[in-house]
Formats: sequence, C-alpha cells, structure tokens
Amino acid sequence: MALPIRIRARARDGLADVTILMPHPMETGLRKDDAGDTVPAHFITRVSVTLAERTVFSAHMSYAVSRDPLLNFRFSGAVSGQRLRVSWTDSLGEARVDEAVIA
Amino acid sequence: MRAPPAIGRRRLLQGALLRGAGVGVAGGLARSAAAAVAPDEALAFASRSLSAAIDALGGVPQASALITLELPQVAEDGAYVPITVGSRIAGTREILILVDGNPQPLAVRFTIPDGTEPFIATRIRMAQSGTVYAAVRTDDGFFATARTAQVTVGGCG
Repeated sequence: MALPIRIRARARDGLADVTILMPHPMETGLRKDDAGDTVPAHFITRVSVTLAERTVFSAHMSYAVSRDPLLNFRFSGAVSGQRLRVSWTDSLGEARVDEAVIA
Repeated sequence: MRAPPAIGRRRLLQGALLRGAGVGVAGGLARSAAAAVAPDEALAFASRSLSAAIDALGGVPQASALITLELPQVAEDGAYVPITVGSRIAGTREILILVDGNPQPLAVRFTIPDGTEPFIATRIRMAQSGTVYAAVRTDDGFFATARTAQVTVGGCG
C-alpha cells in the first residue's frame, strides 16, 4: 500500500496555494536492479484534485515525472476550512485518495 | 566549462521545433489540418520521438514568449530536475512538458480548469542533456517555448 499523499494547502485572499507530494517509486521500466534484472514500469498515470465537486487540477503523467511526484499549483475561489481531495491511479491499477483541510 | 558550445547548441535545438513549423506548413496543410482535429493523447505519450509526439498532439506549436519555463541550466541529477511553467496566454487549458532526448518525450500533461492559474511547478526526469519544451493549449491554438539543460547524470535508467 502506498504511503499517504502529503498535501499542504493555504488560502489567502481567495487564492489557494497547493503543494502535493505523492510517495511513489515512479519506476521507468528502464532501470536494472542490483541483480541486473529490469525493474518493471510502475508509475502514477493520473492525478486529480477536487474541491467538493469541482475539479481544480488534473494531470496525466508518464514515468518522466520524478520519483515521489511533487506538484505545486494555485487556484481561486478557495476558503480556509474547505476540504481538498487528491487522488492518483498508477500503471498497475493501484490507487490512493487523501484529503486535507485548506489552512 | 563548456559554456560557449552549449549556447550554440541551445540556439540550434531551440530552432528545431520552430523550423519544423515552417516545414509543416510548406510540406502540406492537409496533414497539419488532419492532425489538428484529432489530438491523440495515448499516442502522444507512447511516441518515441519528439516529432511523433508533436504530431499526436495535433501539430507543431507556435513559438510564444508568453510562456515562462524555468529549469536549471545544469542539472546534476537527471532523476530530479525542478521545472516551473507559467503561461500568460489567455484561455490556457493545458500545460504540457516534453523532453527531447527522453525515450518517450511527452513527460506530463496538466489540465488547467477555469479558476486555476496557468502555472505548475514539479520535478521531471531527463535521460540526457537536451531541450525541454513547455507547451500550452488554448481554445485558439497550441504554443510552446524551449530551454536547454545539461544533465550530469541521466535520470531514466
């Protein structure tokens, strides 16, 4: 099971600044392990960030996003105390959803 | 250091995509028009060359100075290259990052809904030194800007 998504969101004057860190190996499928065997590809493909029913951000990723993907973006119309929901799915069908309260 | 040759190489590489635009227009509008109506995202991500990825995305983007692309000129570790993209083009719907020199150049596509700023900061892998493109799609067109980066240790292996 993947580790929880770390979410930091702060609202100021209606603008939320969001930083997300998703612990994930983001294996390229090109790397060899110590035994010389190729490590299979395993990477996050989709990320979605929602505020209630509103999608405020989404991404479609390849393995070219670094291990433990880090995202920083900003959106308007946010108020402190609202819950931000972040979800990802990966190339092996695993998924993770976490929430954070906007500070 | 090898700064002077790097600058020459930068000009050359940055020109590549834009010259491609000229060739595309001269080489046949039918092909461009056909590509423009049907961007194929799955195909774009699977593409193994920059030109194939660009074709799959709907055609060659127009160079724009309204896109800011920041990344280190020298990246020590290609596995973690910090990158920031911002757009001042009205109606920015998508921000895409492409890395020429990666096995599959299209790295990521961000969707920018109404109310979200056309800005993203993240970290990407670069397999080798080369050019990084930030592309922006609006309702009216497809735009891009480019920067080169030297990579000390490649980040895709």
